[in-house]
Amino acid sequence: MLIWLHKYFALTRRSIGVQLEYRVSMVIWMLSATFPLIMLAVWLPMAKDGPVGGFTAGDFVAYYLLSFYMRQMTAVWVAWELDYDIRHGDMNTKLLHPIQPIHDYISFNLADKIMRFIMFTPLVIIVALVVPGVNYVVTPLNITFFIIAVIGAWTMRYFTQFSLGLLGFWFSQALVLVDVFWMLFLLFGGGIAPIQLLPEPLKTLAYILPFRFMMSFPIEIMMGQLTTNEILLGFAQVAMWIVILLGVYKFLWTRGIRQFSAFGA
Amino acid sequence: MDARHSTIQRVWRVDKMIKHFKLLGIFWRFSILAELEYRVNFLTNAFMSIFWLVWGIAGASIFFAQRDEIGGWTYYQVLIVLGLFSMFTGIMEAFFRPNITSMIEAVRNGTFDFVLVKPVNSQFYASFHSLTMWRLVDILAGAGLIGYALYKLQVVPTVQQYFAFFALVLIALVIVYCFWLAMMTMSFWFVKVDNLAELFYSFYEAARFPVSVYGTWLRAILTFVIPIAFITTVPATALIGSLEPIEMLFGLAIALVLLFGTNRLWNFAIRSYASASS
Repeated sequence: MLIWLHKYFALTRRSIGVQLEYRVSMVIWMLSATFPLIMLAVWLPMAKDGPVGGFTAGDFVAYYLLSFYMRQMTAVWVAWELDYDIRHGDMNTKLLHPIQPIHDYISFNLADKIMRFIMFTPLVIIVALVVPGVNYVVTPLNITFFIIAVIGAWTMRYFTQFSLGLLGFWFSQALVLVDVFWMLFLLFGGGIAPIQLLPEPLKTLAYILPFRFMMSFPIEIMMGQLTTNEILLGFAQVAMWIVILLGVYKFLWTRGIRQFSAFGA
Repeated sequence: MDARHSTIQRVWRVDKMIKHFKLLGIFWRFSILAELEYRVNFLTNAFMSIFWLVWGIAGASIFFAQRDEIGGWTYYQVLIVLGLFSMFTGIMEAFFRPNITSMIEAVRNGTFDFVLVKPVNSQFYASFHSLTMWRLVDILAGAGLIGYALYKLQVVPTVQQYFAFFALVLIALVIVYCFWLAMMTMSFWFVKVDNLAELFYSFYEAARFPVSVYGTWLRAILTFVIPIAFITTVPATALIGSLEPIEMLFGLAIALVLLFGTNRLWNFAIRSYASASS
């Protein structure tokens, strides 16, 4: 366990170094996450004449502020890396390393998350304090729940996208599926609007599909919309999805590598 | 090359115009021929275009599940805006994106010198030599949605309204082109301009809705600073009959200023361009 931590520490430190070289791109990518702000800008004038579906103007700000934060803290782009590495043969080099390639990819994402955490956590706290009407349930227990839910959301998004990216071993158009996934995630995960406000049948679907746990669930926790029982039940579902996704990843990875060496060498 | 003459002067004469239209035909024929080798792309792109459009409609319907009108616009009126949004996405992806991509590559590798020695205006060549035909599906899908929305609204625009609509779409085309030309020009100074395109798209998302749904200050920004209002909202008002003539004049003025300004910027960049090796 300790040796693993040590390995991850080294990999992540290296990844931070690499990412700092692309500072300008990084800032632009972060600025590009305006979508939640645009959606908020549509709701706010609507909420002026009274709450919309139970959401006041302050609730909308609270929701989209965390929606923005969730997108930053769970940002995943590994499918594009996989696509590039499979196509250009960089996967060969990665396979020769004395460590599973997935750890290499994850370390880059962790480095990115550390930097985003440092940049956006103070920003979110300041906005939450300054804007009137933004209310979160700030107890140590609830924040712990939130952090666990965010890590769960990241894990689910990461392994879904990793598995979709691995399909690149078989199809050259695998990235199209990542786009489809992204759109379903925004719609059913609460990226466009809080899922409580979706019209039927979209709303029912949103509570059945896994996308809710990739964005909406942690926000619901912070906004105090869930009872402790509902939160614990949610964690059980997240755990179930993670087990399933890990299984899919393992399956695709072992098959994919065999397929890859078959035509790569 | 022709830094002394502006593009507008050169393209303005009729014989020059015919020459440039012929060139466009040749450029696009080659692009299409090259793309026909990847026919699977057509299916996936067509699928994605339709999927995006349905997704956009679902997104708009969330807001209309709570209110009958937003910003004074009804559901089907907003669908016209969404149709224009899809059309302009298609236009940008079909005509502008492939050119900015190859421009970035050319500047990075130093092959942009070959563009400069060609006996054709460099801005014209760099802006239009490549085309991604498959993305034209977005334009068709968007036009289809506009037609459907008009049918549902039971609105039959008059000839004048159609005329105003097409004039405004033309103005919008010029504005959108100027944005992309400015981004292309940036590639002379910054290497990773593809990120700028992403940044532009993230603001363009605001064009999914008519600008009147936003608060006062944001509406002002989207009209005067980043004139996205003229891409989708204003042409849509022409079809539903709520166009203010002053907006048309204002849009025309913005388009002309941008066209002139970006052209000067391009010429300035060309003059200070010193190839990749130095």
